[in-house]
Amino acid sequence: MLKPLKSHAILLLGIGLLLLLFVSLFLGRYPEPYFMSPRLLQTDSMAWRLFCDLRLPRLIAAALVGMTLAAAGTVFQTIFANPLVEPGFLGVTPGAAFGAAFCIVFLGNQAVMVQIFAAGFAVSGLLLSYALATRMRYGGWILRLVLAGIAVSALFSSALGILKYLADPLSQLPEITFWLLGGLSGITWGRLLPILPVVIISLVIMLLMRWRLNALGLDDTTAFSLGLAPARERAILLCAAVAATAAVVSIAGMIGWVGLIIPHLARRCFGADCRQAMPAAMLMGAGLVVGCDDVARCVMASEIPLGILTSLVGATGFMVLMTSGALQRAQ
Amino acid sequence: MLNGLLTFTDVSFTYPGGEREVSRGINLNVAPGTITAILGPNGAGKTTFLNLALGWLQPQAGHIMFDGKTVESWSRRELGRQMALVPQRENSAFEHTVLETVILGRTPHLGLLEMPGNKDFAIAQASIEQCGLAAFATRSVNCLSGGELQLVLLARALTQEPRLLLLDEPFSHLDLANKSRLMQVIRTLAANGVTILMTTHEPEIAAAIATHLVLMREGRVQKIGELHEVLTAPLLSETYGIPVEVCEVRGRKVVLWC
Repeated sequence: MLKPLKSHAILLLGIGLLLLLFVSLFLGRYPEPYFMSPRLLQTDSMAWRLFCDLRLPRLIAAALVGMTLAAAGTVFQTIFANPLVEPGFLGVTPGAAFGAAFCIVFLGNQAVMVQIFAAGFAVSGLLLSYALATRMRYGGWILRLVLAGIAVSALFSSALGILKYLADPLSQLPEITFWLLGGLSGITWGRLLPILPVVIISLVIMLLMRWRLNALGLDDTTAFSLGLAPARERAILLCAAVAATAAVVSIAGMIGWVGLIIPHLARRCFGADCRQAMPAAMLMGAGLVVGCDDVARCVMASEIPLGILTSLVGATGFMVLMTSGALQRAQ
Repeated sequence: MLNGLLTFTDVSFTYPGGEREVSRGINLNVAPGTITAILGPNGAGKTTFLNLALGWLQPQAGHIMFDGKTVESWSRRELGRQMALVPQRENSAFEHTVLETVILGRTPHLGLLEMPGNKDFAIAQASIEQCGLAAFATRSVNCLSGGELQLVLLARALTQEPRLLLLDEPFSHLDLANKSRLMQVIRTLAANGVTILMTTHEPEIAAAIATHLVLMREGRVQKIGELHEVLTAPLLSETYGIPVEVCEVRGRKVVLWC
């Protein structure tokens, strides 16, 4: 059974996230740095519009980005039985980066177009990795997918390098760099709503199949002997993880380390069983991205790119976890 | 001989891209409630044989029946409730506890989105106790010795509540006390109607526990029958290609070789 202590802790995490989201709605730089009084919403129409049209969609986006990357990271790490993979692997994140840069260089920097291209190329990164893995004549299925993901990611990264080389250094290159650093400054309801169905459906699938995910991390024969259809069930979970990742990367750019570090942290605090680790990772991931986004938009007059902050926190946390014994017994 | 729980008829199998037939024209009948040991040298095709029985590998020729139906015609979930596999070893990338590993045996009894409940945990706990692992239930499987881990994998298979238990070299990492415990568990299961099919490298193990013996060599069944008919010096010598003697100590057959 799920230990009551653990389920209470997950409930507390959920309450903590809701509180953080509520407080974050009043954090920002209007009308003055850091905190806006809730009373202002009744007297200042600008404050009300800011609250409803900018901060609310942005915070929902931040929470969904964190939840998605952490949940997808948990799925990838469990299925590939490898604690060092993250959701962008299999060509998804480099594909999105190439798509966004391609749009900026050849079609202009329109937010919606960049989003569409990023999502399209993220999915094409996965399809290319999959197609390559099926044709590879080396190793088992998991190893082939890993190798194909590495090869496709390298291909997109080098193509991105060519685009950066071709880009106008005064206008296009800064736009590409800003997109690659990640951020939620341009989020509106118009950009958030189109990705909501994919993200929510994918999150629900990952959450509902979390116990089965434990068995899908076993080797093929054992998973088969336990009555699973390993290839089909892994494909369902990987598709959900990749679709949601492609969707959030298309609106937020590169948000590094959340998908790598948060699953570790969740397993460290709640154990390796995905029944607890999955919801815990989703709540922790949302908390991390919302918290970093608060810092990104409050601390300085100009916004700090979100990806820099998540990488800073994530890499520091990873070093602490790696040196504190959490991974020592992993095979 | 066609009333067995598991029946192989003229089964041949070659791995994709492979040139050599790993299993050749196998005919075999495993009767319900028996303990059948598969004995043979390395590369004889013993593990392939178990994977064919499980339905994980499909033969290119012949057919395999489980309880009167071809293995492929059973649904995955239904077959998972009927047969369980105890693999030789298993690596865990994460720190799963013994209970978390054993409860996975309930997977075929639960729907795609279902989680294990009180009844499932009670069955898992009973399996853990049956395998003498009660003191380890909350310990990480990565902290266990090879022998303890093998007992955890057996407990997981028992949690499936199978009618046919397939064991791949179940005694290979166990010390004497754990070997004795495992033999006791297997005998109890067989007495309760569970059919046992296991591979082993140790003729003494087969002599101590099996009711039936299959001798395999180079993908072929050399001989199949009741233990006393098959565990003989000439047949073992022919199977392993070295001189072997079989003698009896306190009613149990002992195999001598050099």
